[in-house]
Amino acid sequence: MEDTEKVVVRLRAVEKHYREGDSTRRVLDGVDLDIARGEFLVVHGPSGSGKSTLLNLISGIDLADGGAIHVLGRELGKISETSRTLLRRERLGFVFQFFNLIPTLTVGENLLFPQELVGRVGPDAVSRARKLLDRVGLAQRWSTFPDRLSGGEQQRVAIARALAHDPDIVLADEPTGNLDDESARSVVELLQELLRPAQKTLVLVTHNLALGRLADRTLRVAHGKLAEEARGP
Amino acid sequence: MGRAVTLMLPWIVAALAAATVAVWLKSGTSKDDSTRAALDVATMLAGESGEGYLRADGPREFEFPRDHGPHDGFRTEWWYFTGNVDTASGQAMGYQLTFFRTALTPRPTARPSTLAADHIWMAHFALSDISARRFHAFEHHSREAGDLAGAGREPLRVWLNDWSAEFDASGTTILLKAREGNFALDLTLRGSKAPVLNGAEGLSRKNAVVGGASYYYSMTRLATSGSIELDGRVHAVEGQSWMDREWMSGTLGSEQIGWDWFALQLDDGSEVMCSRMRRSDGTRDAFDSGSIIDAQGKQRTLTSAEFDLGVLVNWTSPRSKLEYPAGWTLRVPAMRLELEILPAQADQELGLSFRYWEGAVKLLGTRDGKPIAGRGYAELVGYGSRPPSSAALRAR
Amino acid sequence: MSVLVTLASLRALARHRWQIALSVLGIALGVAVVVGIDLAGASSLRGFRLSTEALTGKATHEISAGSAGVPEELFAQLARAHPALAMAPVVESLALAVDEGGVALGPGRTTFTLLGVDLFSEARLRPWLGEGGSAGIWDANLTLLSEPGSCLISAETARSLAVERGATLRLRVGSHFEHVRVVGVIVPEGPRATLALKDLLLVDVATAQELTGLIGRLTRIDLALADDAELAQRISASLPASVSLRSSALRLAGIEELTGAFRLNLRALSLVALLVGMFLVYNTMTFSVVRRRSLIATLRTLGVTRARIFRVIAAEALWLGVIGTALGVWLGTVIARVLLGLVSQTMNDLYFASSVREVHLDGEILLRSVALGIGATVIGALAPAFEATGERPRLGLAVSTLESARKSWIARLALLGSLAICAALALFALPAFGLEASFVGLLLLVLGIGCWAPWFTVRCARIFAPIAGRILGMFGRHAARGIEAQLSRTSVAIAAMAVALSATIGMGVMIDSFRSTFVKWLELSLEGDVYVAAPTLEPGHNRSTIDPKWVEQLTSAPGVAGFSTYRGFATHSAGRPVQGAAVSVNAERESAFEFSDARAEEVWPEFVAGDTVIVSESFGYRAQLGRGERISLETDRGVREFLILGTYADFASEQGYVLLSRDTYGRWFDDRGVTSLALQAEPGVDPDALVAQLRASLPAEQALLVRSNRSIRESSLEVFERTFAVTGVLQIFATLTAAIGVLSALLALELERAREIGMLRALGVTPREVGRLVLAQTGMLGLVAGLLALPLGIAQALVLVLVLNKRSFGWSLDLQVDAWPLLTTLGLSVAAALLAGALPAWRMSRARPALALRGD
Repeated sequence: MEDTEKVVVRLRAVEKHYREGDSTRRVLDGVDLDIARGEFLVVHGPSGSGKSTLLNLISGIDLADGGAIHVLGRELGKISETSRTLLRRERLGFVFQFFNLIPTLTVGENLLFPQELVGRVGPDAVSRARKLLDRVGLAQRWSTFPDRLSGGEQQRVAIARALAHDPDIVLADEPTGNLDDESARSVVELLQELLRPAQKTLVLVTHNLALGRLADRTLRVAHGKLAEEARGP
Repeated sequence: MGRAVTLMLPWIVAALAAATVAVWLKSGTSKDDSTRAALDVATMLAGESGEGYLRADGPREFEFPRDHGPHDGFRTEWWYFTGNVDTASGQAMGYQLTFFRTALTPRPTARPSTLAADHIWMAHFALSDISARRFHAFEHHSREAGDLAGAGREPLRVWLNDWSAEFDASGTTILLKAREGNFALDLTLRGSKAPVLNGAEGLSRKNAVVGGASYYYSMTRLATSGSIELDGRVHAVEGQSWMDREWMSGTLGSEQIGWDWFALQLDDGSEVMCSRMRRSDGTRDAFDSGSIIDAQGKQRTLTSAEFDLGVLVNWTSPRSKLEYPAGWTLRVPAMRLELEILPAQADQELGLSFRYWEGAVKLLGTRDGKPIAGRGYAELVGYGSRPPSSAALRAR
Repeated sequence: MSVLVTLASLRALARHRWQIALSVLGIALGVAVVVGIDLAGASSLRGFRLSTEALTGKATHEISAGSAGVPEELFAQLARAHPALAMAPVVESLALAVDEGGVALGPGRTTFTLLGVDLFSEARLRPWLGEGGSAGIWDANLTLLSEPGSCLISAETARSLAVERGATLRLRVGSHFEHVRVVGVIVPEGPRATLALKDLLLVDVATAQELTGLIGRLTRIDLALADDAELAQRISASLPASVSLRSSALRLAGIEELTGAFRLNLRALSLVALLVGMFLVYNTMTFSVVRRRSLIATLRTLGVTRARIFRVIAAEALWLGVIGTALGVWLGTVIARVLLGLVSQTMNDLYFASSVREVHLDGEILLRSVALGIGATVIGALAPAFEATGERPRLGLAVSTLESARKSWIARLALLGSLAICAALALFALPAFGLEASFVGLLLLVLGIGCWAPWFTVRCARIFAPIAGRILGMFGRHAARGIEAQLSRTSVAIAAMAVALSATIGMGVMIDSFRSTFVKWLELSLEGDVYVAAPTLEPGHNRSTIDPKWVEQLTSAPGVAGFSTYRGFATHSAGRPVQGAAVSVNAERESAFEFSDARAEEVWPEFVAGDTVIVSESFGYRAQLGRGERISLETDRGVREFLILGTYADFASEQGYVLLSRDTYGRWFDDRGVTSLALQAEPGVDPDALVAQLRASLPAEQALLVRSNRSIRESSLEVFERTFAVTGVLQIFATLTAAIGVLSALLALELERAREIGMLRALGVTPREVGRLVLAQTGMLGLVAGLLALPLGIAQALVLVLVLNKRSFGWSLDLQVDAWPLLTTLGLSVAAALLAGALPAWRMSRARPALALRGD
C-alpha cells in the first residue's frame, strides 16, 4: 500500500458510544481522519468530548463500534487482541497524564522495559536508555524510583520511555495536564525536539489550547465530530 | 381364729415389690401412685403361686423357742409386735414393730456372691402418741444378705439394719429395738403365758384353696417395759404387748378383699384374737376365726359361727381419703362376752408403700354381765382399693 | 444523612460480591475451626461428665479403696451405725458387649458401664435410675435380685445392640467372658434418667460382684453427707485403714484433669486457626476500606465527620462478623461432628469410656465463639477504619506508590513483635508459669514473629528482585517489587499464610519428635519377646488378671527362657488417684528403664529390697517429686510412705506411674494378680512361633492377649497415629483458611492495581504476560510465606516439644527436625498461593485496559 508510507493512521466513519444508564452517548459519530507520518497533531476539546477515546481507539486499547481504523497498514478491528497488543508494544509509544511510570521499576528500568518487550536487551538497550535519559536531562536519576521525582521530571521520563523502543507513533494523553504552565511547555518542547528529527508521528490530546500553536494541525472534538481548526499565528 | 394370712400374702409381696421400685420413684411421686403400682405388682406376683415352696397343709409339731426363728422354705413369714404402754404420768402410747420376710425363689441356688439374696425384708415401725393424737410410721426394706437383714436361730433374732427383735434362749423374753430419727423404742417383753396355737393346733385355714393356710401362733400377753422416744423426748414406759407369728406359701382365696383383725387384752387377764374377712359380695366368710385365752393361758378356738363383729362408725383418712371402720361391737355369745372396740385415736393409718390402718384400740363391755375393760390392737386391710381378683390371677 | 452515608458505603461494597463472600467465608472458617474443636472436645467430655454425674446422683462422698475394693461388710456396718444416712453399695466396672468370637458389638464398640446396685439403697441417692418403665419392669426388679446374671438396659441400648427383653448378652468384663440376660428394657423418662441409663447395664450388686469377680467386695459405697463435715470426719475415722472416704467430685475432677492437657492442645490449635482468621478479617476490612478510599474522601469533603465514617465501617465489620460467625458456628458443628469421632476415639484410647455420638451445642462455647468471631472482625476492621478516616480528605486517588521500607511502621511493628517474642520467652523460661501460660506464650510468639512479616517480606522481595529479574526480566523485577510496593496488603496475606503453615510445621516436627522418641522408648522398654496380657477396659481392674494357673503354665512353656510379671493397680496418694504397677525385676527388665536422675545400679538393689518405688517422668513432673523424696500411698495396710529411687522415661500414660517391686507390693497389698507377663524366648526360638504356640494352649474362658514384641510396637504406634489424627484435620482447615486469605488479598490487590495493569496493557503487555506476572507475584508471595513459616514453625515446634509437652504431660522429647517436611511445606505454600492466584490472574489478564484507564 502506497498510502502506508505517508498515512500512518486512517479512521473511516468511526463510531464509539458508551452506555450511560438507559441512554447511549455517542462519543464519536462517524469520524474520518488521516494522520501522516511525521505529523504533529493536537486534539483538543471539552472534558468528556471523546479525546481520550480517540487515542484509545488508535492504540487498540479500545475497539470502535463502527467504521474502520487502520494503523500502520493494519485494520485494528480485524486483527486479534494479541496482535493489537504486539502492534502497540512494537510501534506505539504512550505518554499519559499520570500513572505513566511503573512505580516498582527505577527510572532506568522503566526505560528498559519497553525495549525488553520488543526483545531488545543487553548493553545496546542500556546505552539507548541512558542516551534518552540524558536527552531529557535526567541522566543522574537512573536508579531513582519514580515516586521520588517531581511531576515534570516524571513526564520527561515518560517521554523518554515512550521513545525507548523507537516507536513510529507516540500517543500522548494530556501529558501536561498535571503540570504548571512552564513545565507543560518544556515537556511539549521536549516532545517536539525528540520526535521531529526522527520523523515520528505525535498525537497529543489536550485541553490546553496554547499547545495547539506548536502543532502541524489542530483538531477539535465536539458532539462526536472532528473539526479542523484554523492554523494559529 | 386369726388373721387372714394367705390373703395378706400377696399384699406383702406386692408391698415388697413395690418397695424395690417405689423407693426408686422420685420423691415427687405420691404414695398413692406407688401403692397403685404396688397393686399392679400384686396382680402379677400373686399369680406366681407358691409352687415349689413348703406348704402349710397339715398338722405341725411346734417347738419353742425354735419356731420363733425363721422358716425359710416357706414363701412368706412375719414377726408382728404390737402393744399398749403408759408412762409413769399416765401418758398412753401404742407401738407396732413388724418384720416381713419374703422369699424370692423356692429353689435358691448357691451363688458366689454373699450379697446375693434369696429373701427380701420389709419392716414397719409405728408409734401412736395417743395423748397428743399423733401417729408416726416408718418402713425399711432390705435384702437378706451381708448382715443387712435376716433372721437367725443362734441367737434367735430378726433384724433389718438397726431395727431388731431378739429372743432370749428360752424364747420368753424379747428385746425390741428400733430407731428412725427422733423416734425410737427400746423395750423388753416378758411372756407370762405359753405360745397360743391358733386355728387347728396352729394350722390356720384361710380359704378352701389347697395350701391356703398358714402356721400361726401368738404370744398374747407380754409384760413390757423400757423406753420410747417421741420426737427426741425419751419416756420410760410399761404395759402389755402381743406377738403374732405366721408363715405360709399359699395363694389368695377368691372374693376375699380385706379384713379387720383384733388382738384384745382384757383386764381380767384373758385375751381375744379374732378376724373378720371381708368378701366382695359382702357376705360372711366361712373361714373367719378367733381364739380366746383365759387368764391361765388355756385357749379355745372360735369358729366364724361363734362370734359376731359389727361396725359402729366409720372414719375417713384426711390424707388418703380412704374410709375405715372406726368402732366395732364384738359378741361371743357362748362366752357371754360383749365388747365395744374403739380406736385409741382415729388416725393410725400407715401411709407407707403398703397402705393400711393398724392401731391401738380400747375396749369396754361386759362378761357374764360384769363390766370389763381392756386394750388391744386392730388391723384394717384392703380398704379403698380393690385387691386382685382371683379371676385375674387365674388368667395369668 | 447517616442513612445515605451507609447506603453509599454498602453500595460500594455490594459491587464486590466476591470479596464479601471471601470475607464472610474467612471469618466463618476461623470461627468454625474454633467452634468445631471446642465443641468436639466439650461434647466428648460433657457426655462423660453428665453420665457420671447422673450416676453419682445425690452422693457427695464415696468410700473406696485400691484395686482390692471395699469389704462388703462395711456397708452393713455403716448402715447400722448411721441408719438415717443415704448410702448405697456400688460395684462398677466397664464391659464390652461381644459376639461369640469376642468381637465388640454395638456402634463404635460401645463400652458399657456395668453398674451393680442394691435397689433398696438407691431411692435416696439415684431415684431417677428407676424412672420410667415399660411392661415387665416392675417384676424385672425382683428378677434382678433373684436371678443371677440378669440385667436391665435402656430402650436405646436395646436398639443399638438389637436385643429384646429375654435376650442373652455376651460380655467381656475385664479379660473374662460372661453372660447376662436382659430381664427388662427401661424406657427412661426425663433427661437425667436418659443420661444415667445411657450405655448402662444395670444389675444387682451381687450379680455385679459375680461378673467382676469382686466377691465380698464393693467398688465403693456412695454416701450423701450433704455438708456435714463433722459426720464425714466421724465416718472417716471409723473406717479401716485400707479404705478411705473421699469426695465424689474429686474422682470426676481427677478424670477431667487427665483430659485437660489434651483439650488444651486442641484449643491451641483452634486458636491458631482463629489467628489466621483474624489476619483474614483484617485483610478483608483493609481492602474494603481501600476500595472506598475515594468514596470516603468524597464524603469527607462533603463534610461527613470522621467519627461517622468510622462508625459506618465499624458497623459494616460488625455485620460481616455476625454473618460470618453465624455461618462459622454452623460450619463448626459440622466440623465438630467430624472431629468428635476422632476426639472421642482418643479419649477412649487414652482416658475413659466415652461413647458420645452427638454434638451438644454448649451455650458457653457458642457465646465464646460468637464473641471471638465478631470481636476479631471488629478489631481487624479497626486499623483500616482508622487508616481511612485518618487521611486528609483529598480527591487524590489510590495511586499506588512504594510503601517501601522507608516507612517507619515496619520497624515499629518489628519492635512490637520483638517485645511479644521476649514476653513469650519469659513465659517459657520461668517455671512459675504453668501450662496455660505456655499457650499464651505460644500465641505471643506466633504473633510476635507475625509482626516481623512486613520486614521479612521487604527483605525477601529485595533479594528476589534481581534473581527474578535475571530469570523473568523486568516482569520478574516488577513482580518482586510489587510485593514490597503493596506491603500492607501482601504482608498480611503472608503473615496469615505463614502462621497457618507454621502450625503445620510445628505440629509436624512435634509429632515427628514425639514419634521418634516414642519408638526409641518402645524399643527400650519392650524387653520381652512375647507378651501375654489380660485385656482391660480400665486399669487396675481385678478381673483383668491372668489366672494363676495360666501364669504357671505360660511361664514354664517350652521355648520360654525367662519372664517378668506386671500388675497394674489403682490407689490414691493424698486423696488423688494414682496409677501404680507392681513389677518383678530381672536383668531384661532392668535394662528396660532409663533413669533421668539416678544410675541404674543405685536403683535396682534398693528397689527390690526396701519400701521404695520408682516413678515415671510424667508422674514425677506432676507431683513435683523425684529421687530421694517420699510419696505416701494408700495401701491395704493403710497409708504408707515410700522412698522414690529414681525417675524413668515413660510414655505409656500421661498421668504417670508409680512402680513397686513385686515383693514390696506383696507386703502392702493383698492382691496377688498378674496383669501381664513379659516372656523371653530361648535363643533360636522365633517369637512369632512362640506366640502361635502359646495361643494354641490358652483357655477359652479368658480373653488373654498373646502378642509379640513387634506387634505390640505396631499397635502402639497405631494408637499414637490415631491420637494425632485430629491434628491432621485441623492442619487442613488452617491451610484452607490461609489459602482463602491469599485469594482474598490478591483480589484486593487486583482492584488496586487495575490502573497499573491497564497501563502495562497500553504499553503492549499481552494478557498472557499479565497473567504470568500475577502468578509470578503470587508464587513469590507463597515462597515468602513459606520461608517465614520455617522459623515460625520451628519455633513453635521447639515450644511444643520443650515447653508444652513438658508442662502438659511431663514428657521429655528429643527434638527431631527433618528437612523433608520443611521442604514440603515450602512447596505446599507456593502451590497454595499459585492456586489461590489463578483466579485473580485470570481476571486481571482479562480486564479491558480501556476500562481501567478510563475515568481518571
